[in-house]
Amino acid sequence: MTATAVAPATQASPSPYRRSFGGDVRSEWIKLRTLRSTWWVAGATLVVIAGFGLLTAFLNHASLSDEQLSATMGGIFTPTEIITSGAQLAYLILAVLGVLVVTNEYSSGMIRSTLAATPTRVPVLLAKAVVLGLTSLVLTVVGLVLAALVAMPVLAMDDISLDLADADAQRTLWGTLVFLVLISLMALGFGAILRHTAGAISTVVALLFVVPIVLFPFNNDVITEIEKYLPSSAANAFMTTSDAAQQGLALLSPEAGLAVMIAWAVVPLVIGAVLLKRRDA
Amino acid sequence: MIEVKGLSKRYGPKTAVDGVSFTVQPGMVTGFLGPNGAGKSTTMRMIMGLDRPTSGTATVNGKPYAAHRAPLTEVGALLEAKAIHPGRSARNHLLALAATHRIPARRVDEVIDMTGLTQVARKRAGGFSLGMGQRLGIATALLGDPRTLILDEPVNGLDPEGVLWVRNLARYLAGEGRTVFLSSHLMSEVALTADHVLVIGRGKILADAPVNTFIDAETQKTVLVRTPDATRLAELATSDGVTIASDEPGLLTVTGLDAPAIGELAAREGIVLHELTPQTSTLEAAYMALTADSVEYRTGEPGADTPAEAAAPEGANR
Repeated sequence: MTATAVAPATQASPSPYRRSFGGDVRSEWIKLRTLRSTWWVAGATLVVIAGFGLLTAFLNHASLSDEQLSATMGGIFTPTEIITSGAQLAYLILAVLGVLVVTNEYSSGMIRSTLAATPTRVPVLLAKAVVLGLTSLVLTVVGLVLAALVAMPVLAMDDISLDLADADAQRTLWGTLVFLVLISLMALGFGAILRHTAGAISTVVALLFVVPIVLFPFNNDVITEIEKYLPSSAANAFMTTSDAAQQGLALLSPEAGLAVMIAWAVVPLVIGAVLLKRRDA
Repeated sequence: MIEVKGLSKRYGPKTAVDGVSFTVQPGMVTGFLGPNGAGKSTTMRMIMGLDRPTSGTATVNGKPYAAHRAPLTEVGALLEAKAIHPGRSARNHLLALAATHRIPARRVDEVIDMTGLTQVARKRAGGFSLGMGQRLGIATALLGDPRTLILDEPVNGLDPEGVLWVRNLARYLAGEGRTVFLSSHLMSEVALTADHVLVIGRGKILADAPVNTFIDAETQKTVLVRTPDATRLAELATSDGVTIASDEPGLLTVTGLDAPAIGELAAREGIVLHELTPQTSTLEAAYMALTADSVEYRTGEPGADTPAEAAAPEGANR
């Protein structure tokens, strides 16, 4: 110590500032909402869910009013299928958001600032999961409400009412909601593991689209068994209505499907958290 | 206060930092000097807990950085100018980091003001010049009003006015009793800003001394002597603390004896001198020689005239 050192106020009285998990969550929310890309993703999610709802509603209307079309379409859609039709594309958009939430910090160097503020590291990933999960949830709910609102007038043309109270409808709606949230969290986990935008997005897309297609032609017991555990099949197991599950698709039970889907979200996140803790930033 | 003990970092076969130990004291500016790639940034990143040491420990104010409850109030760090998302504004970047510690927006605007970023605070940081990025990095470091500041190459990319500003800021913060640890590859910058200097080369601490001591030790006065009787003069002049080198016949470079002493010795012994030129090596040159030697150690056998003086200040401080 030098004799000339003057103890400043900051050293004498403890600082009023404290790091906390709540603070980390707030920080992640600020980070998310202050990027333009987030708003593009949000807009795209809503447009896709509502747009597909409207499109499918018209398709449904057309198929009902045209016998030939009705024959080729192989029947009509249920109202819930109509309003959740966009989810098949929206989950990809939310997966991209999930990846970006973590990989954009690595590509920009922001991660160093983030980890300097929260050097215990794991709370950062947890806070990202909380903020991303809630964002995906809200976007999906709003998207589905919009889809219902735009599809209703079309459905009304054929005197179809939107009855969301029956068990099948409930299952599809809740299933869609859970699926979209879990997919975005799974993508976050892969982002944390791979730390690279292109790599993580390719991995997630491969897992969701490519692997099922590659495995589909095989008629082997082992492969059929593996297929059941892919995210898309696991999600089908708890989303599809009871009779659809009987249409020759090999699926897990809804409960098992949900458990597998939760594992698809949690396992990459846990691995991502362990790696985040261990690796150099 | 920063305490580093036996800190090492290896990346595969390459050793970036090799068992360094030092203490950075509060109330003064400590310069961390070394050529690019010497291990400055790696050492600083290990202190901040960003890189995991292969061995050794680093503590800040008595604890590993990550063990503090309010890390941003303990250490503020500028580790690279653009540790920021280019799509986010400077103010939002600071607000996001401030939120982790419940630091109010008032303090964010304060550091924006202090670093002269008010005009550009709401613009996307992607368009910032290197100098503005550097100022934003310093604003980030100051955010938690920390007791210790770690600044890696803070004057990089700054204009002369900015360089002066960083120098005054570092001195002001140290004057308030804070610990200021700043790295540079420029000896002249450290000489002007720091009270104490740590020199690192090839991952090893080469010098750890007050700046004045370091300057005295490292700016050797050498004398160039040209004489037909070089061998005899060299024999006579050789004693403790005198180094004599000869690059060509009849030419001696004497370190440790001044020109009058050599002249008197020659006169006493009847040796003819053709030239007697005192030469003062600059601080910059001394530093270059010191760090260049640390590179040579690895590539070949140590030179015949290793600067024994270089190691002398080590451990001699305090």
